[in-house]
Amino acid sequence: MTPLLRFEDVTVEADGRSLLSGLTLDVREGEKVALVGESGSGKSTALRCVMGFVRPTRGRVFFRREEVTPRSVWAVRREVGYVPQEPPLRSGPVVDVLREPFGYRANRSLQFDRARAVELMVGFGLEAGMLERVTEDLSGGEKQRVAVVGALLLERSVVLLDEPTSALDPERAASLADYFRGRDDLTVLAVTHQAEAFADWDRTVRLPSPMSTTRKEAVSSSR
Amino acid sequence: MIDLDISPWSLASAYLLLVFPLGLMLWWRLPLIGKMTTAVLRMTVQLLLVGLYLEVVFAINDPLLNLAWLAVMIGVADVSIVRGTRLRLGRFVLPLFIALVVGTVIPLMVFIGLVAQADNLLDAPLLIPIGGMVLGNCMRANIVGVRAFYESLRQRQGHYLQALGQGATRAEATRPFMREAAEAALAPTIATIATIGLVFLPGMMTGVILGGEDPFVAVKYQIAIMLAIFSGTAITICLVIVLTAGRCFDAAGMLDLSIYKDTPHD
Repeated sequence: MTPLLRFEDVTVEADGRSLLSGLTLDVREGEKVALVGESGSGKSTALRCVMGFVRPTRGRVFFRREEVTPRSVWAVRREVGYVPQEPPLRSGPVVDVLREPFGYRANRSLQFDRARAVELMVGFGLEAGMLERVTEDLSGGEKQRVAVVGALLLERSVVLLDEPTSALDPERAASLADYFRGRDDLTVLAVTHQAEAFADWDRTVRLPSPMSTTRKEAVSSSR
Repeated sequence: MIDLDISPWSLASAYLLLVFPLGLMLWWRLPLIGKMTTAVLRMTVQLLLVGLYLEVVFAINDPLLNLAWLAVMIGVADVSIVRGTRLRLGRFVLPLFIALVVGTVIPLMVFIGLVAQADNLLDAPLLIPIGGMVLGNCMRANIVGVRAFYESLRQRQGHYLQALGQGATRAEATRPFMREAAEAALAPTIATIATIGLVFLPGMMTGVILGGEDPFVAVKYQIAIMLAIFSGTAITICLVIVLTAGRCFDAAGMLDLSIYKDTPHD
């Protein structure tokens, strides 16, 4: 089966520093993959390569068999949802922040569904009234979950999550991981330090330590 | 009517006013005496030279020469704006020049052709002082607006990337930053328009009154020039952001950080 997402010996260097070293990884359609590794091993950089926020110094990233290039990445961004580690939610009521991307041309076929937003928020342990609260008043964990809700509302078939549970307690982290595991229609690649919360996902891929220069292949363990 | 000319000795007496800022600088030990001296000397020499030059330009009143002088004024404003924004000159000079030409020429032509109803659109006594007033105000607004746009983009890159990640085009993702920049650039002009006449009598109005005209005529000119300034400012700030954005992002929509003077340049 052709992978939906492929990293082919992807290396990223900046200012003489290695940010990601020779990542080779395939993610198949519908798969839930947790990418784990020490700080500085390049987990977040890998996700940023898919979104075109960082360009590989060496190697290639493929999405639906097409190489991700500065020109093709615009189409990737219309199909892939991305939740950064510290979601930069703009100031204002949560409902406005969630509604904003529905005004973009790429999302015109979609409509902001308030009831669905509330349903997702409650599912992730947030109160329904949070829609009216301003983002400045949210905690780190609440912001993360609001950002996840935002990505899901856009109905992308692929979701990239960068440390989605770093500000959540173990119970809530497990609940979030379980939610995605149950979504057969989604392909999810999540970067995390909390491998245990994602233990039930299809695969956990460990990136080599940033100091290691000999091991290049990510070590994958399937379930 | 009062005699408008002032003798060199009378002009020299105006420099006595510098005693107050100078005293303040000495008292509070502000390190500005050198800068102030240079600025005052520059202003004096520049204005005297411009006065001499304008005497000649006004006497000849040749349309091409007038246009050339306007182009020089736009060029100087162009470089001054980019320097004021702390961005690299090379990327911004041309788009900003185009924006300033459009933003100066449109209000100028409306003012001279429709408001003043002059036969000659390139008449020196109208083209050069009015052009200077529009440009001077555009300069201040553009420094504020361009700097606000690129600084907020750099400081809040996460918001910009988040929008791209949600499927926004570059134009859609930069729109909130454009709105903020335009607001920052236009707000001072709007505040000036709202308080004009109550807080201060603007230069043009004062000039027309000193020239012996009825204050009501001066007011009409002032209304027209304020509208010309506001329109010119809005046109240039909008155009300059649109035109420079094409040179400051790569094909993937990533902001090229080398546009900032304080980042290393390849």
